[in-house]
Amino acid sequence: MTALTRNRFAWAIVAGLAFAAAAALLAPMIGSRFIGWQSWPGDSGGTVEQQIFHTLRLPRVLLGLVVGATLAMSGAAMQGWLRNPLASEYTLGISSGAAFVALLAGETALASVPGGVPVAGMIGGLTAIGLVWALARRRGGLAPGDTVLTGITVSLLFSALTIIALNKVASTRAVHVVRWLTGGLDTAGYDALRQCAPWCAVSMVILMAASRDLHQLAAGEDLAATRGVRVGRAQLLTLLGASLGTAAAVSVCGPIGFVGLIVPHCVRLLTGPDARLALPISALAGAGFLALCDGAARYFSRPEELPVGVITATIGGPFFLWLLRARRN
Amino acid sequence: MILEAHNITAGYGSDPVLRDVSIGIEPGTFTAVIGPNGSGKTTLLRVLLGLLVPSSGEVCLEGKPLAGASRLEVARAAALVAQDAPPLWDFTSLEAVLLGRHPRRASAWFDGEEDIAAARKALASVGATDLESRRVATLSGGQQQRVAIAAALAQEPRALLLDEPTANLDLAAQVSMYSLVRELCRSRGIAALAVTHDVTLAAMFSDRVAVLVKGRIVRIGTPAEALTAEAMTEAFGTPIVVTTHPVGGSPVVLPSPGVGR
Repeated sequence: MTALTRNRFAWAIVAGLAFAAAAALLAPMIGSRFIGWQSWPGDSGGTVEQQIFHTLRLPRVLLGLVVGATLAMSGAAMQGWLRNPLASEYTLGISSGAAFVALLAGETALASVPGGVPVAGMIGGLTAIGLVWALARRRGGLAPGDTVLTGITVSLLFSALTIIALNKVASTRAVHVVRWLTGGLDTAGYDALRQCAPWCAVSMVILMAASRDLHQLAAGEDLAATRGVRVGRAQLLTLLGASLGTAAAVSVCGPIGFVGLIVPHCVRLLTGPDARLALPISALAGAGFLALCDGAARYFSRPEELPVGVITATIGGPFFLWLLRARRN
Repeated sequence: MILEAHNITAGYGSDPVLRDVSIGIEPGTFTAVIGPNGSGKTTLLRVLLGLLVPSSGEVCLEGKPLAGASRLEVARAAALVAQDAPPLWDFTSLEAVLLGRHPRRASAWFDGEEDIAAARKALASVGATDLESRRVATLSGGQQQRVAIAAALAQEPRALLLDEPTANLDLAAQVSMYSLVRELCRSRGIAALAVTHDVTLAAMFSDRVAVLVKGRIVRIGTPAEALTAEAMTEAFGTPIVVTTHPVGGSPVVLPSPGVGR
């Protein structure tokens, strides 16, 4: 039975929630120092464990959940929209556009405006995807192949601009900026969460609302339209939803790769292609995946840390390749 | 008339693809629109479905202007079987057919019991019940086309518009495709319109044939009326003879070898 009945949806969500919850419980324990759940109650004024848990681990795990959910759901939405398995926030230029403008904003007076950097990042992300849209658009909609090619080119362009900008950054700041550009959740505690979580939430609500039409768009723009979908509106919502959340996340955590690309693919292997189901399950799976990878980033080279992007790529990459092969056989 | 185009001029740039085209389709009849490549056949389908707004003229859906109808209203009246739609490889046949329930679903979000029942009924009416849980990627071309028609039927339309329904099908699948469409017209009173360049096959199964050349309908009538040697030679720009099918007597349209220009 592959129809999306109310029951099937509910059970899938329960399973997804269980995975995300398990990850959320496990992740805060992992790091250079193990922190068992017994040390969790209390506040940041208590033992060393309690201090670490409340000021460092907890906000970081929450950030990982929110950012992972946003990146994975956006990736699922963009792959569905473009019907291209390579579509992601990277290959459509959103990440590099957001990173470039957020970097500029971070080095100017905007840095002191609360919430200013994520908004700048969103402007950058929307500019990049807007550029891709304008360049790849033709009669009958976007050509999926051309769109990703255009996106990668725009992405490389913004990456180059970022490196130029990086050269102008004061050397004292450069280390910090480079670290941010490699992507990671080791940012400033609750403040980072406050800056991007609202935008991530807005983005996921928009994408969820668009998922029913995205499901129809799998059959192409003409068929979707003849079945009652307002195609232009659905595409605009998807584009907005995917770019807003991704750009806000990138502004705060830097670009974190592989989550937006691999998590949706793994999820669709389980759920099938239906976007109404694949989008919310991607969000839950992405949340758990990034929180766990971040735990691994804290653990493997303790007391130092690895950038979480390294973990998502080294764990996620081979796993995904194995899944792809296993499915083909 | 379920769908009716009045004096349509339409296109994508300044140069119109369709010029002053009028055509209507009636319940229970199967109309074929034939013509050479680039004559505007697919554009005509897009205009009739409201996917392309004509620069002049009007399309009416059951007597009312199509321009005033919502996408959902059009979707409940007319369904498309597309030619170049992206393949739904990872969908099961049932899932692919359920896509057609979009304008009819009671729940905004989920597939209800009645949707699943309707999708199964649609699969049954194209003789594809046993394909229900097969992935589309594993189906033959003819089976995929049946599933596409079932998806259109799941919309419960009164008009069925088909774009080159027999392209890429083998002979047996072509014949069974057209007899299926004719059967759906007869048994359900559906108004069907297929655009095709397979003239002989269209003549065998359709009630009416319209010949579209360079954006104009140059002839319309029963297959025997519309498909004369003279009209075909002019339409396709190559010498053509028309003979009679030994079974059934429909016109058989044949290019003449060796006398081409």
